[in-house]
Amino acid sequence: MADIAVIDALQISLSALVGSGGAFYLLLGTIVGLVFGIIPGLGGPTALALLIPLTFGLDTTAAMFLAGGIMGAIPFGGSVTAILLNTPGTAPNAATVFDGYPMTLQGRAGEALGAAAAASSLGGIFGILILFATLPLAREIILLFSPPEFFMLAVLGLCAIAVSSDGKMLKGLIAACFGLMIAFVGYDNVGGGVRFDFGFDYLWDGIPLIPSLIGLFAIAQIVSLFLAGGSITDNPSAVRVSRVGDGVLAVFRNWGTLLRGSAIGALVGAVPGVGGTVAAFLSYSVTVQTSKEPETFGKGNVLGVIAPEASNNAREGGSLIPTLAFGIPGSAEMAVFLGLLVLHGLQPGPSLLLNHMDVITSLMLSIAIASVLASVLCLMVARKLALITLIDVNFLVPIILAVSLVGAYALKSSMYDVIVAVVFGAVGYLMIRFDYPRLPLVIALFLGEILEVSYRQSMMIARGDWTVFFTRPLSLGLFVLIVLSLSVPFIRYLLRRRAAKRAVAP
Amino acid sequence: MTERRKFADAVPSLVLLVVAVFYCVASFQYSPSARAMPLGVATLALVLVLVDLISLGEGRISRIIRRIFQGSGAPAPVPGLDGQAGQRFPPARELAAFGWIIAFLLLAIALGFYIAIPIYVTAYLRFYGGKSVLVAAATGLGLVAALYGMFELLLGYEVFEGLVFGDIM
Amino acid sequence: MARLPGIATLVAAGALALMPGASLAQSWPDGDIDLIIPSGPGGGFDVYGRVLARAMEETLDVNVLPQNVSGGGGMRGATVAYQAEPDGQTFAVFNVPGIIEPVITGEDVSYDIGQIDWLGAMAFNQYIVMVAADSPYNTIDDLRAAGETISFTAYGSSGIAANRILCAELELDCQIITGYPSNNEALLGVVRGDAAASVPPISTAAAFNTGGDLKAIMVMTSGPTALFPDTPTASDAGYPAVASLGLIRAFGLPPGVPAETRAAFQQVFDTALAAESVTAWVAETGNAYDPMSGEELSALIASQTELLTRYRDVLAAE
Repeated sequence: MADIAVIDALQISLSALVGSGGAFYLLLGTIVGLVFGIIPGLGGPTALALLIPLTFGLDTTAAMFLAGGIMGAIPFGGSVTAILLNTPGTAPNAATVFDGYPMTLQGRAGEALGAAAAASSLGGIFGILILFATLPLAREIILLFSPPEFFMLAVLGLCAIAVSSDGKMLKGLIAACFGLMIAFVGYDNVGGGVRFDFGFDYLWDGIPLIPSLIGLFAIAQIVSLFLAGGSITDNPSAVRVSRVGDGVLAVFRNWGTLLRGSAIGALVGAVPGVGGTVAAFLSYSVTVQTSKEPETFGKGNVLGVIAPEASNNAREGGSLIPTLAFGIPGSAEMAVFLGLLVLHGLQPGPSLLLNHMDVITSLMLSIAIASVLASVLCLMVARKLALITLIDVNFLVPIILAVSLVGAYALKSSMYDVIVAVVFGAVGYLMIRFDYPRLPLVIALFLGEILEVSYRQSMMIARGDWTVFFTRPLSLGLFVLIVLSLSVPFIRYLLRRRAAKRAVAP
Repeated sequence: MTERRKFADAVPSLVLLVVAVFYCVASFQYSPSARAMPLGVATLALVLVLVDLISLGEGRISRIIRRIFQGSGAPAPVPGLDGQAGQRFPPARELAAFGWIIAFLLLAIALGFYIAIPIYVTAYLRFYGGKSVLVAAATGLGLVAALYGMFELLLGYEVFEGLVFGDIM
Repeated sequence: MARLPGIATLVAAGALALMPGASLAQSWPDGDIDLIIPSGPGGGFDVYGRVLARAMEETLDVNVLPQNVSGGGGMRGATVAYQAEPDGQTFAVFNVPGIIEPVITGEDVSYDIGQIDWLGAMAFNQYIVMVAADSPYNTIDDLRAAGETISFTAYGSSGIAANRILCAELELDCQIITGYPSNNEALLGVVRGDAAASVPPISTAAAFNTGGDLKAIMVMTSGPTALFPDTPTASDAGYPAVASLGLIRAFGLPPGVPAETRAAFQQVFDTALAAESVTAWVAETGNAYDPMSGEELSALIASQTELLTRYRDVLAAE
């Protein structure tokens, strides 16, 4: 990993970008990524899987520019629908709906989009810089995390989300439990049998995440819009006044939030399996907990958009760390990307760094550029996009339904997935109806498998000694964070009571 | 608060209770190591749902639970759409919303997306949205053209084309 | 997934499907061919399947479309493939021995391995025993002499089965830690100390170990291997039976494809198997490549089935 090699490789990548049509593939990838990110249900894994056959005709560097463009643009594309329609385009964007959608309801969609765009592009650049900086330590970072740490990190992610659902913590925890129960359906990777399949062979592979996400958000949102009628925001004057520039400026005024979000994204994103989604929620909840006015979150605080979006784009850099160090995918799209590498005759893993550094630098370069490009492209049309919130919802309902169900089909070419999306649409609507927060359920679906597998692996490694979770320093540290995050409501309750007593006393 | 109202508020929790119990029972057909985590989580869910049920009540314990988890001892807000308290819709309209969705799903399964989308979008806009036939049809056809262009022409990917035409689900 | 693009051709295809007597043999291939892959995009079976699909497209006028049907350790893909229309428009990658194991342990499966119409195989990934570079164990005899439970990390039903059979053959007291999402992650588990050893496919071990974190103590083959020339083989160590263990990248048709169609298919398959694009890809990636005819594949499957049946009790143990 000599520095000179990196600089040489960067030069090769740059000349490929400028000279041999790399810029074209990067732009194409960015546009595809943006579109796939915006459409609920279509995300990075689908975009890359659909592109695999198309890259056969390309040389490896061009394929990297295409893939990098997609990976860089997807996270921001996903935030657009999260903000405008309360429907995260991809799972890690789910944290953005907490404050992004309330801003839209207040007519501040333009500002939210501006903040998301600026946070995404800067986060993407920081993520790549952090990746460059940590590459020499990549092995050590990855080796720090073993099953007990994976377990604690998954629990921490779940708790951070349950606590973030302000005032609904109990229902949030219930939703998380049921999410885990759903996640346990299907093949048991540790014991080797199928569980809770109830005779349906479709369930052998478990309940698919992406269609569930489409149902819980896009379809449930369609039902809500159908019932509410009118338009998304009833404040047209505010929509016209809300400035995209205000959102961009807000990011520059809140460097701390941006940097913290990026760092959390890049480092937590490096942890395979748990990474990206947990990172966005951690970034959000840390921002809430350290804020002087936590009660303003969930009601349209622009920091609640900046924190998860910075983390989201930075995680793309982070998820390359395990890939480069050990050939292990850091995220779902990275898993598909590894297949693409192999098809192009490259073996993922440390040998990539030794033999094909230019491929890596091309990818990193294109992720960073695409983050910025996607934001700029979107900023140019952000004001027009914001006008969606003034459209008669009767147009939005059939269009979103049709597009998101096609999206549910596209990942695995399965109509059963589409049925799952509709079923989860009903679940999602009932959760809105009876006031259960949906995000803990979604995150539990994502984390369920790793939570169980890492717990059982830890117990096997320690030969049944459960103290393994508390004797390893990092695992213990994460446990302390869990306890702290869970005690936040209690602490707030005590503080409020003391304040109330003081107010009464004199 | 009337007894009937109280019962209505408790229905979702009771349903979850039944699901959790069913899940616990179902987990016993698997080996001890395979059921440990699902059983544990389902039991935790049971306990939490019970706590939630208790918190609906009027007694001292109910108030304490509410204070801890909800931040105030006031009765739980009436569930509504996205926290817009009190906003409930007649069940007939809720069923209608799902009726349109399921009709589209069945149409797509039978005839494929490229035929189902224009029919559904046009019908929805015309008969539910009250738009003119022209606007409704143009929206439906425009949407299908955009999807066809992106998947078939740009990506070379074939979207489901219906059981009637021999496609596999 | 549809086989024909365009609404007009679709209607035509629908009409054709309604005529059961229509002669398909002369007109094979009749539109795009579906290749069922029993895992998600990106894994080993997916990559082998796509490489072959690409090679087949070189000689065919139609597309070969990979369809990922993951789930149940390859069982779902096998079920879908087995029940597909036997018209030569659908073939599949089969996870062998992943689809044999449930049969042996008495699970309810809806396919009959003996009835699958084998075309051949691209690769036979045999296994290797790897330990950490600083491990006190240097040979299989060291493991046996350790006098304590040896822990292994394992990935996938076939990897776990191979590991169990190895332990039974060696009469080792083993603890197998499962649940790793890939062989690379199982090997990473050995590097960070989750367990003492692992039994990955040889080519995976070679690709992972460019950093020298691990050392090989036995290749589970009968003859020497190019990737680990100095490592003793199973036959050297006196355990020849384990050499028939391995992950086979097998291809087959659903039972009942008409003879003429089948012959045309086999010809295209064989050409693709030896295509230059395939050999070039193998040379670049170092992936295993052991092209095998349908007969050779059937014989190998028979010997695997025999070995797995012998260790039925070991495999069924939970």
